[in-house]
Amino acid sequence: LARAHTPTLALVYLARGADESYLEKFNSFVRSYKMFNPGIAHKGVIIFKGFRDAKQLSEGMDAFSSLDFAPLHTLDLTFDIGAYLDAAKEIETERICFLNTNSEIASDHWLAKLSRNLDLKNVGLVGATGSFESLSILDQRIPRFPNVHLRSNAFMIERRSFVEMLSSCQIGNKNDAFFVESGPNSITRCIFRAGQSALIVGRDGRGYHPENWPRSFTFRQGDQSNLLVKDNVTRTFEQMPWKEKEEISAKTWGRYINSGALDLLPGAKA
Amino acid sequence: MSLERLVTLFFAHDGNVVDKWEHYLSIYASEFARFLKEGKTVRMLEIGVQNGGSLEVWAKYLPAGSEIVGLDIDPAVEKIHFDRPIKVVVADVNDIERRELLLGAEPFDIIIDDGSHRSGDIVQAFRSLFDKLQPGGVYIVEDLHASYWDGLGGGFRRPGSAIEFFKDTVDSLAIDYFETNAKVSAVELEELQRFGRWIDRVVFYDSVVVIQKRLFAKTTPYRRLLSGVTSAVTNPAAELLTAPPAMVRELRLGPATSQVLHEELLTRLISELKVQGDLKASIEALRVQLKAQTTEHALNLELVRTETDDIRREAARISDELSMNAAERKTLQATIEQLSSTHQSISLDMNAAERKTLQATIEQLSSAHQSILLALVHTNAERDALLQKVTWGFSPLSDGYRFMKGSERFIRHRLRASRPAPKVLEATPAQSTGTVDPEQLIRRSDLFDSEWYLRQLPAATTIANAIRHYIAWGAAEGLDPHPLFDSSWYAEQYLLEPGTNPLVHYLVHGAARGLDPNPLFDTSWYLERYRDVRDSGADPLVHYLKHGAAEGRDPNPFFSSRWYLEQNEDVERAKINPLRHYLHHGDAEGRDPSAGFSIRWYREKYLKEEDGRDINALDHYIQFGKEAGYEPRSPNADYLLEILKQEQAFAATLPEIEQHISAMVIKPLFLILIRDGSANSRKETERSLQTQVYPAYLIVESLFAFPEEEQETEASSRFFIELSAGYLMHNSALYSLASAINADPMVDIIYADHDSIDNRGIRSRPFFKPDWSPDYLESMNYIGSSACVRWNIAEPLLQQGSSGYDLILRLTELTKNIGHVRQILFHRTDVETSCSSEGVNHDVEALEERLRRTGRSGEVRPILPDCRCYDVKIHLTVKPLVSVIIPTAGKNVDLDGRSIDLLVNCLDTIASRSTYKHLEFIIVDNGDLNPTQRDHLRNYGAKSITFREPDFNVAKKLNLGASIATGELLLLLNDDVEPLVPDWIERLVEHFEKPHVGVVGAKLLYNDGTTQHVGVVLNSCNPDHVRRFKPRDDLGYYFSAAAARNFIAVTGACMMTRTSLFRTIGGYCESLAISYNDTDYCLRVIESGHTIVYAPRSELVHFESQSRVAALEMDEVKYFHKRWSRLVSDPFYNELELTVASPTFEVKHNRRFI
Repeated sequence: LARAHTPTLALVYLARGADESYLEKFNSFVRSYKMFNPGIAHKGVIIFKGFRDAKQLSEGMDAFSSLDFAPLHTLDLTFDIGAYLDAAKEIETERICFLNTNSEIASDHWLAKLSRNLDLKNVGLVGATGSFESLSILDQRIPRFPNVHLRSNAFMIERRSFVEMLSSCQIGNKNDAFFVESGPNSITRCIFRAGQSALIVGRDGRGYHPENWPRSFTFRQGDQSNLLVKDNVTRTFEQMPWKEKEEISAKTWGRYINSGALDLLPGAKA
Repeated sequence: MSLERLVTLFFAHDGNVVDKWEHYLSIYASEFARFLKEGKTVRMLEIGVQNGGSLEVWAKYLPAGSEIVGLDIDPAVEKIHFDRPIKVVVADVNDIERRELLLGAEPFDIIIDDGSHRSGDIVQAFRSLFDKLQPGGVYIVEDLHASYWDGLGGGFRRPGSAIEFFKDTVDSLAIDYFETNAKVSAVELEELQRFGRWIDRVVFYDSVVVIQKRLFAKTTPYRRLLSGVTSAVTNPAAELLTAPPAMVRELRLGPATSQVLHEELLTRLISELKVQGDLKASIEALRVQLKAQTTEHALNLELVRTETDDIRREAARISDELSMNAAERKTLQATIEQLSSTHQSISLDMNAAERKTLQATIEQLSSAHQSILLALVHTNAERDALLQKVTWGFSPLSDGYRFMKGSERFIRHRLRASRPAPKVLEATPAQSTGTVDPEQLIRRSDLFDSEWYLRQLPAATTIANAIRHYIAWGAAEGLDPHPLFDSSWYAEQYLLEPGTNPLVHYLVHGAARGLDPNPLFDTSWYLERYRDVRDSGADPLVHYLKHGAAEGRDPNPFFSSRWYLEQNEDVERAKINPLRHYLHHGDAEGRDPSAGFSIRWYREKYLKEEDGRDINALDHYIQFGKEAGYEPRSPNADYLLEILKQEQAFAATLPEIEQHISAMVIKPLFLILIRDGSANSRKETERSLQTQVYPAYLIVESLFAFPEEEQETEASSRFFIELSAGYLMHNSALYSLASAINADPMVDIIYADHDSIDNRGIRSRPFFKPDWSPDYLESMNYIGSSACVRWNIAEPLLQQGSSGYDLILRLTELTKNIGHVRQILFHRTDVETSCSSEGVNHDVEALEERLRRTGRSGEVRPILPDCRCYDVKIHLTVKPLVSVIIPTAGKNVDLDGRSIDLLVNCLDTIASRSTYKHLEFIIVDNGDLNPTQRDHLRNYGAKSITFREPDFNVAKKLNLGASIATGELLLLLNDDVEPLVPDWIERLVEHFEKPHVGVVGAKLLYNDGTTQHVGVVLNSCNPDHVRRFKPRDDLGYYFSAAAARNFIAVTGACMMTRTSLFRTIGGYCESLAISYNDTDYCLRVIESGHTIVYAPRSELVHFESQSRVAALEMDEVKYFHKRWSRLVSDPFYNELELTVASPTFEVKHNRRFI
């Protein structure tokens, strides 16, 4: 392991009141957080944003009353990633794990598994899901398939790197948010450029390098049995009939689903 | 006029409402015109009455006094008031018994189907009513556009839709022209013949089809008429002479045509006679020539002899004169004799060569002569057959018949006259082969490779013309003209007459007849496979040589040109034809002809005892092996290839795995106990442990004496593995188990897949195991030595001395946290020796103990002697009431020539053959059982309940039956089954003594005794039966068919379940009226925490889908896929490593799709 000490860690959950069925989502997160031992000490922070009024905010905050989490309020103008940046600037821990509103933890020791993989030499980013999908159809500046990127629903990163990476970003619309996740200067690509790797961490605790993402049995693969953290997208996949699963899986992983070898991915290897 | 009248009538109609599409009126006016013209009364049946207006219009339109009958399933039509004498009958058109009773036996002139518009109903109605159509009558189906609609059982080109059915009736018009090898089933053929006899025409209009019945049945095919005398394009005489008698039999000739044919026949036969005479003359001329040359040769010999004598005399004179010493004289004498001998030899050789050439020519001519004589005999036979064809005697053609008879007499006379009249002609090479010069033929063929040919001759041989040499000498000597033409093989294979040149024979006859030029070029296959070559008329071998190989075409099904070149770059670089290379070099060098054929393996396996080096392995396989059931390569080859790939992938990910091990949150310590075995086998096992990438393990000699430093390890992180000595662990084994523990820290028992390994290190017989299968575990220890158990759980049992199968059985009673790693992590070395009787005894004891612990009693027997898979037969202490629910349509069917009332047969066979008597029969009928059937129900005290909904829905029928059941268990049963063994019910019931069992299914066999149901698996979320069509005693994959085993589902044709469970989970899903409802039920049973068991000792015959034609409803399939979307793979069948189409459990690595 690269580190001699245990870095301080904050878990930041984004509680967005503007989401449909937000209370149900908050409750799912709280239930899963209590069910699975995180396996590592951490500071809890909840970002509250997008609430219509004080009453709704109060209801939202009540959902977390059983947790020892610090509240943090931001405006709902800069999408999830903007809120993460706001939080990162406020928090003083060395590392942060970000979870979005739809997150539902799925394994014991989940936070420790992420953290241990971030401890590894030349690893700059870890997350529960990743994809090769490209949204170049929306914006041609987005790299074409295979566009290697960790998804932003559940990821852990060094706080300082995250803030530095995003301080020059303008996040004014949805496309800007997509760019941070999978654009030409996405967080994943910034990590690659820095000579580091981005790992998907499975329920088994293994950190999968990009060449092995397509056989990690995580995001949109098989029964996603190795998912560390679930979200609305993984749940939608779970509920798709087999044929649709096949189509969406092909969109996400293409032919790599069978080979797993990714020599074609410049910069993907650390 | 009739259209105008019909339109007028239609719109003037003021009675009951009538509804027709606008273009129907013109169709009806046209189709009914002849009835109106004839003015005779007609009998009309209209299916589908609606408001009755249509019937009223027809009553007005058709000739006065016509009988108009309407038929409808809706009883409301009985209340319709008609202004004319119209009869309305309430019945289901396909309820034949009731329909016939009400309609009477008299046929109808017109039948209109405007009924349900469901394809199934339309087709069934047509099939059953066609016989009720008067000869000359019309059958009209309205609104056929509905047959393109999914909701009515139709769809665009959907098999079984009404429009497709009527399109198929067109085929019946052509039934007499089908080729004898046409791919048509016996059932289809019967129906086509039935309709073909009677259908006069089929007319398709927009949304309407009209089928007119012939006035008389067509009992013989139509005859061809031939008339006229001039044929500038195609010669009918030639066609007639070469056509088989069957095609000529029905021909009718006009007088002038028969005269022309007669003359043509004469001309042809005379021509043949002339050729025959010419050939005989040629032979005679050559004989004369040979005789002359032989004489000349004798003269030459005499001359040589004289010259030699002269030399001898001259030598003697010189010797005397010069008084040479003896030695010198001797030398000179020897030289002279040598010269003399050489001279003589050369002369003799020259003459022998000439003689042989002449002899070969004579033989060739004789052979050609024989062929022509044979052709003549054939022609005579054809002519005789032609002359005897019966229809020549048809009266207007009697002149033709007499002419033919006259021709015959004339020809016979000419034949006799021609015999003693040989004519000496000048013989030339061109004439000697009849019409083709063999040299030119071969030269043009591209099948003579001079270089190749010369290589077969002695090195110093010089030949001016290789082709001539081949014709005169080489062919007879067995030399090959081309590397891909094997003269000797060809001559032997096709029994050529001595003297026949094989290549000439191939070029003139062989290729066209599909004969093969060498053992590895399959001419017929090539032409069949590559239709473009066949259609082009090209010589197949030449095509392969010039184009085929380069285009990746193959010379036979077992040789891949492309693969061979890909594998052998040297051959590709040298641009050598792949088959040529393989035949002459590749096989000897052990180069495989395709990925599917292993030379090395085949030789080793099948040619070891012969001198395999001289035998071409592929040739051997094609000629003998295939027929004998030999394998072209190791059945294990795919598996070995997959192992290789996996090993490479594992090696590539090793750095990542090492990182993972360093970052693991839980680092389990594996305590490994190696039991039994020799010191060597223990060492083998230990060596495999030393290769583990996961380092934390401890080989323990004694279970309770850990080294001090390990005492500190958390007890919860210790896992125990009991290995038999000799078992090997894959180097990833402990890592994979540790990963599984990290993924699910609650897991108590983890097992993995295993295979066998021999002393050469070759792995085979992989066992891709099902996920946790408690009922399979009672048949055999399928978990085996690969069990990795949390120490806390194992320790107490180990202290009691439990081990092996007993330990696994006891462990699984303590925890249900059981995981399965779908990877081959263990390799067995004891496969051949493991079935010892001692081992069997231990297993039996373990199972008997298990029965005692779980409150059951029974017998445990190996299913085969000394086999470690068991049949556990329970002695039932309680015999619960079983409610047998049989949904039925009350049908009679013909099976193997016997007529069976399915319901009666089902009840009778159950009652007479079953030893289990605590039964309650519940029959769910459609309200149409006949009196015999009702009597039977009464005799058996069966409850009867009627399903009254119009649409078929077996799920609803079963639920209806279950609603009145009082038994503790439900036996859902099709009416087309017959039990085969007396205790078939007991063998189902016994599994319910285990509280976790929710459903039990039986082994079902087809009528021919092959398997129809031995478990159901999901393939891409589609249910499918495993191992269909296998013998009744098939063992399956690791006893999957012979032992009780868990599956994801069993068929609903015979399924037993708990009544309480059935009711708790809501019975069968009624949205699945036809398809997948049984699998859906099983999946919901599993969801409720119960298991599904296949019980092989409960055996029945299932006449499958006799009650109803099997069909898949696509809406239901979609529903099922949506409902069970989360089921990505079958937990009891490894879709990635076992065949999926069809699921036979054969090992095959499949591509991942998701």
